Amino acid sequence: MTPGPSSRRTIRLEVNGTVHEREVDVRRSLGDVLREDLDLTGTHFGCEHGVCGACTVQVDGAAVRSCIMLAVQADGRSIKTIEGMAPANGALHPIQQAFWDHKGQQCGFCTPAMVLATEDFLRRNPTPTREEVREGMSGNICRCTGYQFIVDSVLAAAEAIGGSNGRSS
Amino acid sequence: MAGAADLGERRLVGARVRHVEDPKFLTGQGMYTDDFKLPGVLHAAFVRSTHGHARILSVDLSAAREMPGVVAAYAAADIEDECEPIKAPCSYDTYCQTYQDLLAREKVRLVGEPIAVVVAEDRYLAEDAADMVAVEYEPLEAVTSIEQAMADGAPVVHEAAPENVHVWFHRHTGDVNKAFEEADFTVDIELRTQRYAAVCMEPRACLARWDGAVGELTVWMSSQTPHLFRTALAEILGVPEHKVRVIAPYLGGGFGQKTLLHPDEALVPFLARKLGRPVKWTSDRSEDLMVSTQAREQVHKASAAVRADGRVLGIRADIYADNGAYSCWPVSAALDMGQAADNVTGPYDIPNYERRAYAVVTNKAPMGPYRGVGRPHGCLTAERIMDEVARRLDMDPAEVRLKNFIREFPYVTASEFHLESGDYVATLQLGLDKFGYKELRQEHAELAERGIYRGVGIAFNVEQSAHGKSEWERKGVMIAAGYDTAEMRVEPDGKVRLAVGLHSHGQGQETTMAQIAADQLGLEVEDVNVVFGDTGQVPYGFGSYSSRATIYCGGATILAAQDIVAKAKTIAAHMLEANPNDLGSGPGSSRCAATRAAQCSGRTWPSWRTTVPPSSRRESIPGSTRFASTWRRSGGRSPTPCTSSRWRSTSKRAT
Repeated sequence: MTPGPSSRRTIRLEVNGTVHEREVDVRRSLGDVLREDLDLTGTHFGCEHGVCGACTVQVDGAAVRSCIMLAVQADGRSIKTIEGMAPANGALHPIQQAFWDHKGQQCGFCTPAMVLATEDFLRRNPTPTREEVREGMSGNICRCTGYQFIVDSVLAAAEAIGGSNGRSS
Repeated sequence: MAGAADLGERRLVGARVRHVEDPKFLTGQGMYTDDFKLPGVLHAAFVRSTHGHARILSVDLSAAREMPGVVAAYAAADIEDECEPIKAPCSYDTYCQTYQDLLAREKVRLVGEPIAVVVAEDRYLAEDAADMVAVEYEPLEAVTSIEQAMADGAPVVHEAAPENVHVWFHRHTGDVNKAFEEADFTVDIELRTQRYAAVCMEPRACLARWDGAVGELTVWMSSQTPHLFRTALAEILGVPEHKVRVIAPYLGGGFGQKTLLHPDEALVPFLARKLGRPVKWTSDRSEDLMVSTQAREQVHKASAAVRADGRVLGIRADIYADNGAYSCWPVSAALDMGQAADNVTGPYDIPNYERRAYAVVTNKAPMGPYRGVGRPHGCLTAERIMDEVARRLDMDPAEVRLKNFIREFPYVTASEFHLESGDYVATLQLGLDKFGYKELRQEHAELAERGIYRGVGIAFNVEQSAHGKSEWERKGVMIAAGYDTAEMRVEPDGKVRLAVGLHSHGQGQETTMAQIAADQLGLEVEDVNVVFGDTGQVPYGFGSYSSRATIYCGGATILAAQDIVAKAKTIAAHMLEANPNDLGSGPGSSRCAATRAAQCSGRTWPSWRTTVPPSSRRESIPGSTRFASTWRRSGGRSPTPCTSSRWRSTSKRAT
C-alpha cells in the first residue's frame, strides 16, 4: 500500500566519496535511489529479486545486490558504484582494464556489476584458481559471453593487482 | 597516422583490435533505455491476466484511479478507437490472420496478457494502483500442448483460427514415394524440443515522448530493429512514419526476442500521446518470463527411407511448432516451423523430401525468433536420423554421415538452399581427427566390455545467415530485409561519420564497422564514428539479427567508402591539375595521388582529405554532404516469387 508520511526517513549515504542526504520511502530500494535519485545509472536491474547480480554495488566494501537492499538499510554506510571505480584521471581501474583486454563483456549490461563483484572477490581471494573464480563469480549472470572471457579477465585482474599464483585450469 | 594512407589494404580487418566501445560499458556509461530520463515522465504498470484462457467479464478501474499519484488507468474499451491492434502479416494462403490487441478485449489468451494499464507519477505508485484493478474472469479450458490443440473438439483459442493452427504448409520435393519404395528399411523418430526463454539481462523497456505541437513521436526502446519498430508504431498509432523517431540505445541482449513488437511496449507511446506527457515502462523479470516471446517448442515426427548401405534416400517429416497464443509481428508464426522444416535434410544429399509443418495455437507466450530460429531443431532431426541409421546398420555414425554428405557443389537442397561451395567430408574429417574420434570410439568400446558406457556424438550444421529477401519471402515473411544501409560522411576534420542500419548489442559492431571503413580509407579505428540505432540519424535499415549485420552493413560500408574515394580522387585531380582518369582506379594509384597532394598541402593527411588544402577547404567543399555517400547492400538472389506453387499448400492438412 501507499506509504504514509511516517514511512519516509532521511538517510545519509556516502556514494563514491560524496555524502548525499535524501528523504526516501522506507520501501525504496537502494538501487532505485542510486539510479533515480542520484542519476548513477551504471547500476542495472536485471531481475529485481536478487538472482542475477546485475545490480551489484559495494556497501562498506562488500558486494551487495542493490535491488533487494532497502535504501534505509544503507543509511550511514559507504557505497561504491561503477561510477566510482576508475581513477579520476581518465584511466581505467586494473579490473576494468583486464575486462577490456580480455573481452570480458559483450552487451555490457552485467558488466559494471561484474567489475564490482570482481573487486570484492579478489579482496577476499587475491590469488584464485580458475575454479575459484567460477565459484566466486557465480552470483553474477551473463547471457552473452559464456563466461570464459570473464574468467580470463578476473584472473588477469588478479595478476595485475598483485596476487599471482599458478593458475590451474 | 603518419604518411599517406594505404587505401583498401586489409590492415585492420582480421587483426586483433581491442573494442573501442568497451570502456563505455566498463565504466557504467553505456546507456540503456531505462537510463534515460525526461522531465515530467510518468510510469506505466500493467494489469496482467492471471488465466491462460478466460473471458473478461469486467474490468473495474475506479479504485486504481483514486490512488495517490495516479494520472490515468485504461482498459481496452478506453483505447480501442485510438489505436490499431498488432497484425503480423504472412504471405501463405493457409495463414489465419489474428489480431493482438494492445490491451486484451473480451478474452485473454495467455497468462500475463495485458488487460489494463495504470499510469502514475512514479513506478511504485503505478504498481500499487495496478494491484487495485479488479478483473472478473470466466475461465475457459486452456490449451497447453500441441496434441491438445490439434485434437478434435479442442477449445478454440482464436475464432479466426478455428483449427488452432496459425499457418501450415505441405511441400514435396523429388519423388518421396519412390524413395520409400526403393528403401531397404525405414527409420522413424519423434523428437521434442522444450520451450526456451530469451531472458535478456535487460528486460524490454520503452520511454516515449509526444510533441503535440508538431505531431512528433520520439520513442526510446530496447529494440534490435528500430526502423521496423518505427514502421509498426506508425501504423498502430496512426502517426505518419516520418513523424516517428525510434531510438534504440544500447541493449542488454536481444537474442532475437527484441526483433518482435510486443503489445505492452507499443502501448507506451500511445499513452504518451494520449496524456501529453512522457511515459516510461520497463518490464520486470516476472513480466518478461510470462509474456516476452519464447522459442523452440517443437515436435518433429520423421521417417527416413534408407538403403542397406546407409544412404538415406528420402525423408518425410511432420513439424509441429507450439507457437503460443499470437503470431508475432513482423515475422509471423510461419517462421519457426519453416526454418525447422527447411533444415531437416541438413548437409546431406537427400533430394526426396516431403514435409508438413504446422504452427499450432496454444494458450502460452507467443513463440518468436531466438538464437537460430528453428535451425537447431532441424539440425537435431537430421543428425538423429543419421544416428538411427548407424545404429540399425551397426555402422560408425561418422561413416553414415560421410556416405550421405553433399559432395558436389553448387548444390540446391530439397528446401531450395543454394549451397555454392563446401567440403563437408574434409571438414568432418578434420573435426574427427582433432577430437581424437577414432581413439575415443576404441576406448569406449573397451570400457563397454567392463560395463562402463560412454559415448561420443556428432552433429554437423551448415549455418544459414544474412538471409536475402527471397529467403524471407519463401518463409512467408512479408516485412523482409533484402538490403541494408551505410551512410558515410567525411567531417571537416577529415574524420568519418558512418551511419549504419545495424544495431550493436554485444556484437562489437562499432569496432567491426570502423575496422572495415578504416581499411578502405586508410584511417584508424578511432577515426570512424559509427552511428546506429536511431531512425532520426541513420537511413532506413533492418537492424541486427540472423547473423546479418556485418555482411550487409559491412558490404554497404565498403561501397560507400569506394564512392568517397572516387570523389576524393576527382577533387585531388583538380587540386593537382590532373585528369582524374590519369590517377587510375586502384588503391595504389590513389595513394600516389594522395601522397602528392599531401606534399602540395605541406602536411600529411589521409589521402581523401589531402586533396583539399586547409586554406581553401571552405571554398572547395560547400558542405560535408559533398563527401557523403549512401549505399545499400543488397543480399540474396533475385527474389523467388512466393506465389510459386512450390510454396503453396498442395493438399489438405491431415490431422
